[in-house]
Amino acid sequence: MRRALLSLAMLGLLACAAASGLMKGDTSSIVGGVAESTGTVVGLTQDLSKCDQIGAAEITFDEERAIGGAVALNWVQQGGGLLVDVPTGDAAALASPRTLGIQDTPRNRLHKYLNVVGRNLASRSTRPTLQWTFGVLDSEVVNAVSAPGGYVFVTRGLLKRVSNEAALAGVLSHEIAHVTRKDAFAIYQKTKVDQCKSLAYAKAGQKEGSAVLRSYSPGFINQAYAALQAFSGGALDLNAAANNALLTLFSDEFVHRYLEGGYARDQEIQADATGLELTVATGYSPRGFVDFIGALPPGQNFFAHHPAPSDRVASMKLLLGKTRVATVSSSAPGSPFSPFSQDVSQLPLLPLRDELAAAR
Amino acid sequence: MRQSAGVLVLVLAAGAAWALAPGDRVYVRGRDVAVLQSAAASAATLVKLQPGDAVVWRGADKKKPTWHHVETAGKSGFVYFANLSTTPPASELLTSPTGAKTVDAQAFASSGAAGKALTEGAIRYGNQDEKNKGALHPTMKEAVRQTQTLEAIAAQRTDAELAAQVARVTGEPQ
Repeated sequence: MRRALLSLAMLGLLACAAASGLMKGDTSSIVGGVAESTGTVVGLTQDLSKCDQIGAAEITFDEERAIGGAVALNWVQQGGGLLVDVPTGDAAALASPRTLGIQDTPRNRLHKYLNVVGRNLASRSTRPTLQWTFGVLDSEVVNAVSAPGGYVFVTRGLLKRVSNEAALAGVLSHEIAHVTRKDAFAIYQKTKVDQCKSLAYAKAGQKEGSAVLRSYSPGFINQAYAALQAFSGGALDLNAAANNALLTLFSDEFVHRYLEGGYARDQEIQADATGLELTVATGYSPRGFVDFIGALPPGQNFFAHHPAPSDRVASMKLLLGKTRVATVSSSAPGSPFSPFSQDVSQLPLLPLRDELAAAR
Repeated sequence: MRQSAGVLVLVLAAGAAWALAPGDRVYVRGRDVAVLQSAAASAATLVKLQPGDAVVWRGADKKKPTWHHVETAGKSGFVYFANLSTTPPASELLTSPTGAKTVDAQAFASSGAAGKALTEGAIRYGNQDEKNKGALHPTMKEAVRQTQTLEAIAAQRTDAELAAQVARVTGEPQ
């Protein structure tokens, strides 16, 4: 079907070019116009084919981390910044996480605590060896968000609402689940192909490329197009300097689409289930997270994209009642290792540590 | 009819996938998971295992079925059930000069790719002039520096801190 539409578009281009030459009454311009348009159409066809190749390629970890980093920077900026105290130092020092000197301040201690809690949870996930990074955004909005590659953020507003470590663990586990389940990939793959094709159409002077033309400068579009033309198959290296414009095109649109629509309802319910399993497997009571979600006002900000809190609570209670274990448990229905096969009522909520005060 | 047969095959396959037999390989989930001498939290630790480590499953303890008998590296002991999984951690797809290649979680961990912080591409993305126009606070350049600081805080968490957190949550001595 798509091929048929493309063929029709090609025919339309050829017809218009020929007609414009005819109106001038100049046969050489007719020939030239046909040749130019044929070249444009062939070029467009090739470009669109490359876009399909880019979309069909599996996303490598390097690509995931590149797009995840760019998306994480957007969450940091849009979330009002991180509650960290940045050390003075040059770019090289900041790019060396193992050796960067970190000041011992209340805000940095808050992040030490959050990362210990988060990494303990993530070590029980299906991607335990990622470089998981957990941060607090300086925003009053009650929010939590993740980015591919292992970035998880919660807001100061959210931390004000959690009353025990089990609730915090549940929130972090829900976001960890989005990363381990690669929920962002579906949005990203479509974004990548759509943006690539918009770029190709823009260069071919087609109206389908107008959104890209509106959003970016001609110089930027030329850079992105040069990167597309240089693509020769295989994995797309978005960390290469020559591909920075493509990384920008893809990341910006991913962020836009995510903010517009969020994840699908089923993805959120599954993230609740996987997250709850992770929380319980780590040793926390599931009650902290279930109560936290149940107390959320419906439709507030980020959570507007989620199912209603009452629906989420009902789903989790079903899961805890073991009636839905078969559909959600990563460690398997009927598995002797399912954390839900224990008496979860004995698991602790745990008090929050004093370090959290820096966020309140 | 064909659809019903397909469903039946799927159900049978799913059932078979979870049927564990003594001698099967299962996997550790969690950091510093202790293999204990007997089926009790207070028992002596024989060895500590890390996420994705494979062990041979011998079955649940008859008296305390939340403890499972396993064998690993010539040692035989007990692991709390929630620390085990029938499935290994997810494999990862890495870029290589000869094309993308799939590696298991442990090979991934030792490849160096796992420890990567904000990539060159992401740093370039945040530092480009186009992203630093306007009045948004923080700027993208500041967001890069803050995120790098956060990554350093995350990367510098020690095994001792993480072990203490495991003990705090589970109430078990480490």
